[in-house]
Amino acid sequence: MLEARLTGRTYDGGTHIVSAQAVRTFVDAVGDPNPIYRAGGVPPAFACVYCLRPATQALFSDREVNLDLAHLVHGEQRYTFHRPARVGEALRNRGRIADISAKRNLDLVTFETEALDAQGAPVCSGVSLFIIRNP
Amino acid sequence: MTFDRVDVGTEIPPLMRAVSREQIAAYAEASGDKNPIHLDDGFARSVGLGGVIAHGLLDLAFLAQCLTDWLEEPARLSALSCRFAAMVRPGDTITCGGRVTAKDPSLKRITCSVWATNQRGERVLTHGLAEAQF
Repeated sequence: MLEARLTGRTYDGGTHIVSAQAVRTFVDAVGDPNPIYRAGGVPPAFACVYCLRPATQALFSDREVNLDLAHLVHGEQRYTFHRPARVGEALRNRGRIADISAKRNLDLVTFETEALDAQGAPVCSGVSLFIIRNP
Repeated sequence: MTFDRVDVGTEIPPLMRAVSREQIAAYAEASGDKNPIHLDDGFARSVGLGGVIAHGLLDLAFLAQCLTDWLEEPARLSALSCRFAAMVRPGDTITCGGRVTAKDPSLKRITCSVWATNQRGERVLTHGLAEAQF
């Protein structure tokens, strides 16, 4: 079982430069043919790349928390889009363990993330619920 | 799509997508989430999943596309959330949809209930909520 004292730990996801190539790879993978994304637009779901993934990877690599990734599933996701991201901009990503709780044989981790622009203004905020099924 | 054409009860046109092993692998590359539960059947079985599963965020990307196709301007989508209620596997067909539940003329904002079901009619994305700002 995860210890509640881990709540509040913060993670630096570094800076992500939104590239046209990464957006193209993403829309090809999800199968979204919208021409807006071939002309500098960034799909909302691309937030997983600049707002979620880097900070989450930092959490997953944290040996003190030591999440069991083989038994971890993504339970819920919330995104708030403060404004659309733009190709070419550098976004800073960070995350924070907002809550840890247990239910039956499950550990529940609520992880808040955000992506900030060069001025420090939020572009996207995320809340992820990760569920770890204890065998 | 204009704000005037939307009302409480307006249905969002459904978006149907078949999920393949190749697409899950492509999503793993594009998103950076290469957890073997999405890529390696043997590994996924060994941890009790019965085979590879799609990333929940891939299902969420379909739901986002359903909304942005309807909204026409993707930038209008201001919030999106859901629960990943059931596993999605290669060979499944997902249908996303939604309905407008609130409209605020002073803020020019709408709220929608959104969801996704599989080919057996089981809900795979539940508690879905989307907001759009016109």
